[in-house]
Amino acid sequence: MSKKKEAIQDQAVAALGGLVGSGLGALAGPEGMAAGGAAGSVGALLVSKYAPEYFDNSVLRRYLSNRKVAGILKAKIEADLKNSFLGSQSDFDLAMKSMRSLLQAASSQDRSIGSLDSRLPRNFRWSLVNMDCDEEAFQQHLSHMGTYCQQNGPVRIGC
Amino acid sequence: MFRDLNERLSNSSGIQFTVYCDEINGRAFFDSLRSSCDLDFAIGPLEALVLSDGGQKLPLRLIGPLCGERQHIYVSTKKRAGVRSGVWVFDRSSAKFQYHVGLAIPRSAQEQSFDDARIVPDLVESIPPGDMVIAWDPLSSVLKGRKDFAVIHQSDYTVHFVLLGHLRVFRKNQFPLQAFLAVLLTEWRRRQHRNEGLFKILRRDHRFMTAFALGAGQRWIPEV
Repeated sequence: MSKKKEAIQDQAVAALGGLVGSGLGALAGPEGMAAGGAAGSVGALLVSKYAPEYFDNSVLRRYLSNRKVAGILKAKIEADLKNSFLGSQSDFDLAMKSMRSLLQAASSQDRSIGSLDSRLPRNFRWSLVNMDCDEEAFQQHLSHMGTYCQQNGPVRIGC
Repeated sequence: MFRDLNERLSNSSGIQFTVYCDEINGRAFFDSLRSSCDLDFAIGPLEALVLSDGGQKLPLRLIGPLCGERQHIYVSTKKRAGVRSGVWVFDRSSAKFQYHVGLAIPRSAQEQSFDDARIVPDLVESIPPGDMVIAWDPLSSVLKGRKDFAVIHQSDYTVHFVLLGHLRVFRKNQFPLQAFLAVLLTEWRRRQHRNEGLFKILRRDHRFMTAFALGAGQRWIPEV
């Protein structure tokens, strides 16, 4: 583990130890809180240093690691919805235009990439115009989909 | 979003969606479809699709773009021990695509291609000073917060996440495509204002969280 990571880990361990220690110390008044906090921090740091395998599997380690991943995921969901191409027909068209020119540029380096048009279906183009639907129309679409699923099973989506 | 719809509507309207989301990145996803592709729809980066499926053998056709994901080139700013200018590129990915297009790639840069996404966390730690790495989110946002990496000026690239349909969904009377797209569009636009439920659904999926964390160079520890 790098020294930087180790330092962050030690800080986290000390903070938790301090919290636990001060919580117990609080039962004995303000002085007890300070003494308990200091003792708890030292104890937690010792565990981290001399029994790292215990820390690696600890609740604290899991909490810190998972909290970081959860934060990254929340930001990613926000960003994906913010950087949407489905806001309007012009956003959608602009993205299609951008993809078309990028594929053209890339295929000059690698012929197998091909053009965007070669990847489009022959008889279908998605247009967002007139696709906004009120609640009644939305329910009709759901019903239509529901009938399909009852006859054919679930719609399978991969990502 | 589809999982959420499934949970909310399967009892009342009979609508059912099964979502498969187990791969660490877009390239691994499209590679996994080579042996068999029984999906009705696929969502992934166009850039990885065109490099993974050069011969266009997958039975998938493009319906349209959904959203963009940011990708940047980062240079390692660790203390210099000599001048290097290798650029680390994950093969057949959107990073490779950006390299092909040449966007913000220095002329002197030497491509250092690698083929296993699982080495990314170690690579980021051991990358030589002056070398670059092309990273997309979520790794990109992690590197952005580190002091030992700097973003190369004007290297932002938007990766295009697209919706693809299996050939059969375009056949007449085989699938209610307009209804599916209307439901998708309506839900998508609603979610732009109210998305708190999406995180909770994803968090319950241990395989997804593990793959997502790995993609960010992090670790998801199962909650027992």
